[in-house]
Amino acid sequence: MKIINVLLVLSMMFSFAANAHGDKHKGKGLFKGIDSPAAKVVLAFHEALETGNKKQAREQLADDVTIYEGGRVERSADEYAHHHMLSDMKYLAAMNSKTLEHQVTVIGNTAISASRSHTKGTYKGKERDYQGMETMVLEKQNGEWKIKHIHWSH
Amino acid sequence: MTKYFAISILSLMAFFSNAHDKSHMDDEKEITHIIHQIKYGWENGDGKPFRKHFLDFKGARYFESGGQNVGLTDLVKHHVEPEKDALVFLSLDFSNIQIHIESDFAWALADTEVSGEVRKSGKRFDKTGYQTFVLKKVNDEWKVLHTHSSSKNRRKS
Repeated sequence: MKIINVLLVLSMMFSFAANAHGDKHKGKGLFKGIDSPAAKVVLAFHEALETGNKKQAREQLADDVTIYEGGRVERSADEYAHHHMLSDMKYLAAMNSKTLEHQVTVIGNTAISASRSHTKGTYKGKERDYQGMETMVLEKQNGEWKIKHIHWSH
Repeated sequence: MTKYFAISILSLMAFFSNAHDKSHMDDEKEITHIIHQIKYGWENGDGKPFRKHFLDFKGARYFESGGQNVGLTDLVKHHVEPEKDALVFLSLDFSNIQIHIESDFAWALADTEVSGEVRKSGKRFDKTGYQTFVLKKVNDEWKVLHTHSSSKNRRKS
């Protein structure tokens, strides 16, 4: 019975989000839950990285965020902000990145965001053209959604 | 009288606190067991642990270093089981496992070491990386909703 309830909730969330996204991806199931408050934090983080807005990027992260990127790990927002965030911003400013699919599922005070993107461009004289994957876990802290974990790979 | 009342309250609080800790420990134990079963499944090209411990729902996605499987059947049929024939051997180790539990939701992080040999080319690989697991408790059993793994060639020391 509980499985049926979970599946019903998931399918309701998916169908709501698919309808909310508009005609472009309707029925394809590629964009789900992206109008939820948790998803807005993810999108604000993406926007901040793309536009080089350090303050906005830092605000979306929980202090104790864990970030897996390119085989390395960073274990706090400050560590990321002082190390790789700036290089990520410079890199993304030089690239064209398009989100191919994005699903956000909210379960109580936690949310999962999974997305796939295509990135193309030239950085430091090197041509790049690849598909990237992103998993995020978010937690509602004092009424605000914060990113607790990021896993990037390509 | 007040003293006995206070002792009773404290005893009850201690009991419930221990019960909560035990339940939390049981959850961590179960999730750790699932992670070890996943290791067994990958190493042996055996889809059974995945069928047992993953929640089979439409739209499930499993990421691995820039690629994805969509749905549990896709993961098992097109990734886990074919590796049995494609690889001479596969060794996968999870370490530094950190489990975060919030009610019926959990996520686990682990360091990974993966090595193997490709049957067709004879090429060997030896990588280190990271793994993310996202789980949900369904009918008192933890089920994996999503995984993400990434790795790179081990640094030569």
